[in-house]
Amino acid sequence: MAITKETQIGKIEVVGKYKSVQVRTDTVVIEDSVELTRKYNRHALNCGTLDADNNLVDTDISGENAEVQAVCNAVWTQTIKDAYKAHLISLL
Amino acid sequence: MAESNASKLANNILTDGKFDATDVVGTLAGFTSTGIDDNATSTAMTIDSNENVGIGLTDPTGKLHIISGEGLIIDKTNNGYSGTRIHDDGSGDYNSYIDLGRNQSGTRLTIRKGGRVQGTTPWTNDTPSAICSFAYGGIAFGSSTGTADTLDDYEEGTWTPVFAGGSTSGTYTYLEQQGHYVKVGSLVTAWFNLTNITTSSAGSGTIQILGLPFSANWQNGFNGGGVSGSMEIHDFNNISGVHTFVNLGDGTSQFSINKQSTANNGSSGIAVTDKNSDSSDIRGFVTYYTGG
Repeated sequence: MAITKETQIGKIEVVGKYKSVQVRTDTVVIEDSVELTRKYNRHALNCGTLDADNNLVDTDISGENAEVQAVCNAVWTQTIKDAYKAHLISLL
Repeated sequence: MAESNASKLANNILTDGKFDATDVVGTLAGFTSTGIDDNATSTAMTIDSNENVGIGLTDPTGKLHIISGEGLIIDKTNNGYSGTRIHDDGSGDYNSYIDLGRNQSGTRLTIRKGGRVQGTTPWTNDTPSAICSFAYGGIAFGSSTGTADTLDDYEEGTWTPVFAGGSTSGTYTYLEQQGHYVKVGSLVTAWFNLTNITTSSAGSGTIQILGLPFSANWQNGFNGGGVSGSMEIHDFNNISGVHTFVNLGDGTSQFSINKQSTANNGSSGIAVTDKNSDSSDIRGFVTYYTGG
């Protein structure tokens, strides 16, 4: 009888006009190749945040899964970053 | 010479002038009648003394009891492409299934009212009005096939709330750092609990809670979004007697914590530096729209 626990990237979703990247990380417990439980943990990523001078600081994605990094790098174009920066400033 | 079944039947009828069930005992080989034949090589259907009907078994325990590897199939076209099938897998966990139609986007189970007009032929498909339908990918309420009345998602899980400053994030540790969420359709409610927020390096600016499980989508043209949820703040300075609230901006996955000042209806952010000690706590929830 072998019981293992592993984490999997369950979903990577790109949503909204500012290309938020939503990541679902699944924790899966498996016994003898049969899945016993699956629990979800989520976080969402935006391309940046404003600093005190209203400059957009790129989100640090170095700790993200490689697939997540690839998606973020693909969708967070300069156009998206500029639009998101303007949007954040409009919320102040 | 033994009397044949046919001869026995004829004699019995001639004797009492009627046909009784006891006139013939045994199997009627070669029996045919319009709509019924004896092609089966074993008992296909049984009607027992309790008026229970068994198909595929001789001891039915209900009014209709079917044993079949394929289950009960209702298929108008008899092409195996559509219809309804009720069956169980007969092993392991003995899962039971109701299969409806085939796996394509237009297939749906519709629960409807007005299946026929009073006084017309029963079960003609006249003026149906859907109450709801279970389409491939969601539950649609009403007869519309649009997405605005379709419930297409449910999910629950955890998230990791992070205390930070709006201008400079800083770094903090916690005794408890907990978050969980429930998403029903496009509506998300996310609960959070941060206790003993301990400063490792101080941030600056308005308090932000980072790490929401989904980004907010307050819908184009709607400017009232943002103020959302409720919370308890413990051991912070400059909040006595004021109303505190969260603000979750459109397109973001974090929210700020603010206070309503007592004068001139003004509001402002609560500074991350207002955290009084390493025993400060924040807990509460936010409810918001998400989606594309």
